Amino acid sequence: MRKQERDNILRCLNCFERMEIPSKAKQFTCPKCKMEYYIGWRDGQAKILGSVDVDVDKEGG
Amino acid sequence: MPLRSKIAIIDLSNNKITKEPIPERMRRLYLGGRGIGAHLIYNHVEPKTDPLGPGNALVISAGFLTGTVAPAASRTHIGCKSPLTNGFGSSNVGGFLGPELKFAGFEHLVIKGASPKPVYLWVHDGEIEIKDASCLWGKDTFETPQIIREELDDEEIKVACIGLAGENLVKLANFRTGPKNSAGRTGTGCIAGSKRLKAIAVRGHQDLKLACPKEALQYAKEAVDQIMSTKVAKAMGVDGTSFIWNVTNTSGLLEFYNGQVNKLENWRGLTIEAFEKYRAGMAGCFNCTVHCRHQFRIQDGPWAGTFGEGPEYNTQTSLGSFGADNWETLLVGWHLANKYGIDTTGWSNDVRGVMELYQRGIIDKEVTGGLDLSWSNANQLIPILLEQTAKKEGLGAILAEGSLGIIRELSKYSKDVEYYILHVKGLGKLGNVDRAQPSFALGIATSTRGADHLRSRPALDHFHLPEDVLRKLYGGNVSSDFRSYEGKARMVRWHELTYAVVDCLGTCKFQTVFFSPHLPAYKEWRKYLRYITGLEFSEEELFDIGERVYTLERMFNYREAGYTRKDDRIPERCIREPLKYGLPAIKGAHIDRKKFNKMLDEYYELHGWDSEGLPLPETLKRLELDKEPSHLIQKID
Repeated sequence: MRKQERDNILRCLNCFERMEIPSKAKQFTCPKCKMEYYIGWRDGQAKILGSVDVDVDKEGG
Repeated sequence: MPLRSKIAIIDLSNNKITKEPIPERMRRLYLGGRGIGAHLIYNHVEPKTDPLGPGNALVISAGFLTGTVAPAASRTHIGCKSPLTNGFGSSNVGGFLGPELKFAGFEHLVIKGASPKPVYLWVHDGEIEIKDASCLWGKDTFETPQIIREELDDEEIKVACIGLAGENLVKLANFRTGPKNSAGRTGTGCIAGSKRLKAIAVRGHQDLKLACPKEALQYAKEAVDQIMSTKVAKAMGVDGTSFIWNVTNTSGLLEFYNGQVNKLENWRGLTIEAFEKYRAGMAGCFNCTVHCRHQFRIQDGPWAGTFGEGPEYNTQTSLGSFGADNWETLLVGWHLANKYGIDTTGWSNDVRGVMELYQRGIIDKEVTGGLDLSWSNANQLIPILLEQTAKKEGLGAILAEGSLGIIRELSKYSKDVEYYILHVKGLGKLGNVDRAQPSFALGIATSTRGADHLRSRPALDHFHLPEDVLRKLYGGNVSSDFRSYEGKARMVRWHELTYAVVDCLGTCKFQTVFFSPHLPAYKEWRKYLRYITGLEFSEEELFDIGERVYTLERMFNYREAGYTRKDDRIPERCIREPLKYGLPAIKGAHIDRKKFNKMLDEYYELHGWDSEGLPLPETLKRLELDKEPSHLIQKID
């Protein structure tokens, strides 16, 4: 059986760097590209909820 | 044994039913499920037939392993000549129908002709009856199964049925097999409606005797451990396939307002975290340990008490692409689409397109029947337009015709209409971005059922796997950068053939290499086949089966619709309009036409097709397709 990846390791969605998220952290910045993410936790597993400073459409259409 | 399951050919025009065994040679060439289904469609659909005429055939196919101990072996394939694409109609569905069909002694039902009055099929323990369905006509997809179970006095009967949309020949109509499960794509429900076939009810008590039961059970346990050790299985068990949404939305890989933008300000209302207040539990399909099916309940407001299963990532990206800012809108839309039996993916795509036509002033309220199609009205419009579509009333009469029908009807207002109705071969696309990833673009362009993500999508392209791992997996150089065109033709071909094999076996695609290189693939499938069926296949033979099935579907598309290279295209918007938002790696991305065409050339060459995308004679010979049609049909009865 292969070795399981730890539940607090995520990949940066921008540069694919592995990120080790401190337990219960709510935001995290990628050490390589500095992209900042909102982090959520469920059953001890970290997940990216969104990005902090990325352009969005505010008007629609 | 799984090998003893039969093919039944049911002619609704003259109430004739014949049953045939499945020859071992057919097994070796097509396995089962989608593979044998494709062979049956190729042979039983009358060439150039009107999709809504009696010459079309609706083929229900359980997978070769469906109903056995193989993990998540729940899948059923439903195929026909599509009323949307005029080509290969094909949809895959989970739940419990396929396993029950196997327990009843059948693997494939070929439904031909058309009945003069509404009927349903009663399939039970080796027998098939055609029963009157007059009292079911007009019932929705939630009521119909219950009425049949009461009539036949068995709560365990599994039912596939159509709703109002199928009865009214809405081209986007689906075939529903459970609270959440729909054979949604390519209009299979419309074809059932054209045959006045309301439902198929199935009950079986026959054992599927395994070739090596002890080894099969032991190996199934190992495979379940393998599946459940992956992070993706854990995530799906908690958040369903919706676990993907946060990742794609964060990246800027979701399209909103018909692909005009790829990131919204009000995204928080559609995350899986915001779904919590509606969550009522999780469920699974036959023999699944992951359980990715959400159950939901709306607690208050005008839709209080509404309960259902789902939605999935697909629904989030489809019904969530109009700018709706809350889950309730999506859940109500999902509930109504299921009730009427409408494919949410295709319908949402077409409605997005029509709303953009309204935004741009190409159509006005005279065309919309007085409806204000502004994006800000999305929350109110979704239920209204779903009902209109199912009943073919008002604007719904135009929406019911699907992408090609909408273009035909509305092009009189502007020559630009085709640009805004996004489709490939007449099938609308999922509401996610395909223009940042050349592999995704090639996948939807060449898919044998039109724009679709489940035919060949290499999700692994986003994992940034080391290139030596990719070389080992795909047998050649493939870039690990999802934005690159290098090696992506090879990657797409590998995935489309591999997914074809999965659909032949009848296991859940999401518990295979689709989501992780650590999930089961060829090595594991060989063992399933050996222990469960007693048949030995090499990895190369299985890959060849995938290629045979894909090529046969391609041949069907050429025969029926004349599809060639000109039709292996992507919506122009993906080429002309760079993405406006998203992470730095995504922003500004679009498909380069020249590089895309080169990738298409490589893809054809890998397949052994000519520059127009047609199989070369030596390719047909190698795949033993040179004698289709009918080279395997053996009339037994």
